[in-house]
Amino acid sequence: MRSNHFDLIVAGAGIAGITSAAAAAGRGLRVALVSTGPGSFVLGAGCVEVQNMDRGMPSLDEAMGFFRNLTELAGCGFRGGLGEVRYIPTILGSFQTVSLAPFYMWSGEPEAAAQVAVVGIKGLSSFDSNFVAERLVYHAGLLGRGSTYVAREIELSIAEGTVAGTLQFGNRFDRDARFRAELCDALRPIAAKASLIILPGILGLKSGQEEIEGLEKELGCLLCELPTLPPSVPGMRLFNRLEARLRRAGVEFFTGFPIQKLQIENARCKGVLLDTPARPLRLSSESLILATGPFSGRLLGNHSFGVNGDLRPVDATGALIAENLYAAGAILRSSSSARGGNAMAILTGYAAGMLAAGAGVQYAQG
Amino acid sequence: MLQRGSMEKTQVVIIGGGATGAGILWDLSLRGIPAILLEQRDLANGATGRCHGLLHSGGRYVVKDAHAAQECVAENKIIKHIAPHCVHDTGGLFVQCRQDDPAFFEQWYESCIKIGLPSDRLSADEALGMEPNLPTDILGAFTCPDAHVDVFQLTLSNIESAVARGAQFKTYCEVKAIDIAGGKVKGVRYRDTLTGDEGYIGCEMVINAAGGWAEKVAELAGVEVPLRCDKGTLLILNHRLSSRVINRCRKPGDADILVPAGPVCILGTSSITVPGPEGLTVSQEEIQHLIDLGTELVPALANARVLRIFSGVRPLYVPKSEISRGFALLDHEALNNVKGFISIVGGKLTTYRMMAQATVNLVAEKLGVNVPCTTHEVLLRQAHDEAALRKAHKLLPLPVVEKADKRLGPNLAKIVSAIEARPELAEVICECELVTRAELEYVLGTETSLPAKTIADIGRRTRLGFGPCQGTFCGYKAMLAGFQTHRWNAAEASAQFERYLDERWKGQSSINQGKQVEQLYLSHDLFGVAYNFHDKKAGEEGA
Repeated sequence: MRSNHFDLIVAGAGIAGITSAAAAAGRGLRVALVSTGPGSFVLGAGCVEVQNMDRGMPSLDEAMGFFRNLTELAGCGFRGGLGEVRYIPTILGSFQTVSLAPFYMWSGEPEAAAQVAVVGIKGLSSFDSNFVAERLVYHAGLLGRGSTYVAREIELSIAEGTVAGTLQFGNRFDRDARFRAELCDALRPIAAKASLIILPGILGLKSGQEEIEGLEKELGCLLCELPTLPPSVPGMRLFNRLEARLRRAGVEFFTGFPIQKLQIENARCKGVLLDTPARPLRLSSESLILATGPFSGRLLGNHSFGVNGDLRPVDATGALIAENLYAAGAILRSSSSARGGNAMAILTGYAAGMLAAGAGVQYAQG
Repeated sequence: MLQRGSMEKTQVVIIGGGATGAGILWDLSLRGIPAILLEQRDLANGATGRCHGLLHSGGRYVVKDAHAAQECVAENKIIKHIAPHCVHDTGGLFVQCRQDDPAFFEQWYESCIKIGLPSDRLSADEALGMEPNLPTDILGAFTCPDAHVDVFQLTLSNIESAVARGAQFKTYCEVKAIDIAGGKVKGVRYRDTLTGDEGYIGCEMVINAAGGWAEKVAELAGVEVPLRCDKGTLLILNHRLSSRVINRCRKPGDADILVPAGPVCILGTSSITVPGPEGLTVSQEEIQHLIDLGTELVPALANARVLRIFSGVRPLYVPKSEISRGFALLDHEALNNVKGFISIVGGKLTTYRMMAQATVNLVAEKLGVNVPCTTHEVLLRQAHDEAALRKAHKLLPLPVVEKADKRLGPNLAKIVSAIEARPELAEVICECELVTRAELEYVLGTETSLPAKTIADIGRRTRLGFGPCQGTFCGYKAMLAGFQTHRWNAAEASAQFERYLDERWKGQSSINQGKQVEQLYLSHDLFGVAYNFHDKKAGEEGA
């Protein structure tokens, strides 16, 4: 039996938590990742908006490089880079401007004068291809793009006694080869007349590059999947792939339990108490990264705190709350701008993970 | 001349689509007097839609104003009789808190007996047995026939019934001018604020039932109607903390009424004089004040989740710096020599029918119509269709049927046949208020006499978006439904949804702690960042 003592506990399984756990595990640390669930992944697809990000921040390139590599190893590779800007469509027919996106969204910006088909699924009420196509035509016009968007609809079989839903389709995409064939057949006539197909996110909750690019190859057409209203299938897929990758790298997951409290004694964080059934589970560690999102200030005893140059939380007087405690991701959001959230999560997650592992990473500016 | 654009004719024009205006339209239709109601926004959008939804028993006024209390006693019974589908007859308690004046308790009880307000005396144990969330140290309580009334349903039912008898109404039509010639009303000119079209309605009489806007409307006729706008702020909490209406047994004050309203409950209110009915804001101090006082009455409130905070304006009639919660019927022919112009101001939701009756009595007299009022006995809705109800039970889950039946009554049959023809319409779009796609398409369609023109209108007809998500998910789906049913093109649907988000966000923006802050943040993040669709901004006026 393995002990409940770790080199590092990462709290939170959003982009920041996952990135820091990966960074620290990569430096040889034994890492526990505790979370209530897949964090902000369910809201979108992890796209990185960088335009509001301070490019002058040291380690940003390094962090992005690390994250790209991580997603590649996980089979959910991100494309793009810090200098790039792409216009990726959304379910509201607007464009999101991103610098990095998973491969199944990155092709969402069509070549000039491309024929794009927006494909809806009969019965799937949360996505309307006519609405999306009409709005994309409008927004593409504002951007001066020549691409044309046409709406199409396909019909897919639905499990007896259920209604069409992205989770059902995603599940069947993973498990059922006949469903994948059915989807491919339904899309084939559309693919024949389009160079890009935009569809609601349904291409599997666990699928990877092989399955999705396989479908693209068979259709001879690029695919771009849009995250629908939460939970978003592309976001859950990204989480599932990253989780599997981290498990292979030795990270241990404690999922489904909120943190009751941090055990801080003599300015050192000894570990956490998890709110597990029957009695709290105690995990101890040499250091801890708090990546628990924007509403978790209570864990530090109050709602306002700052961080010093190496991401360690300080109280109102500027004193460290605990010398082996780091913060990353949206918990820092009060001091960063709302946009660029995922870039910030990757940067601070990576930096915190490296710092906890004793590697020299410079986070602070200048 | 004033007229331009389309030209219509009727006998009476009512300005204002709150409960009072709607009640007047219904009363006129029952007496066979042709009328058109004009509302600048949507029905029940002003004070009617921004109150507790309390059908007063009279208990609140019984000590200070026996006359107002007696009116409530009478109207309480009548509304329960004519509009049972709008009333949730919860009953109410007047709670004797330890810190309040015991002399007042006795005075309250004696006053009730005097005016015939039915009330029973309860011991502290009995009261706590009925309402375990009350403070454990209460001294006792009195019962009363308070109830919750769905203000939107009540207003809409009056309009719907009136329309069935030939009356007309126009929403989003702002009156721009009242045409007066030779000291006599000739008509009104209005502008459709959604299309920009102007129209003229020739008429013999104009009734000003514009609530907080009555002063402005009176100016159009060149007369003065002095009003004082008194703002009341209310908090919606995400579940019911009591089964009955809870009142604090003391002189009426702030935050001493908690009304259970369907799946939520409403705490209020404050009372602050404001310059006018628009641009209301709520300060953090005001919210804290309400929560602190509410917690004295129901301690569990301290940990409840606030879903939304909103304010309405009581238009109090102040002829000579003398304030009244009663209503005033102003005959401007007698007062100002403007023949055919009447204002009905002040009053309260519970007595809306009585106000309508008094108004229409005067109108009938002036028009020489000799038909007595029957609004106190004619039911506001026909019996529901039993066959449709049985079918609905086969097509939809029980709680969905119950809610739909209450909202739709006889029109449930239309939903049922729509679902039979297209089973996909059984999908529940708003999971808090259990609104099906069929109901959504019905209120957006042409079959209803009360078509929704905006997403917020859908909410007032179905309660869609009134739950914890505050429209984040169901508002998006409602927008798509409007697009799919060709109510709006894609650009219009987008614009509708942006306005709707602003309005929903505004009601949550002053909540500063708890789970609803996270909910709001999620909504901002999704639509502002993930979909790059619409950013939060300081909302001006809630629709």
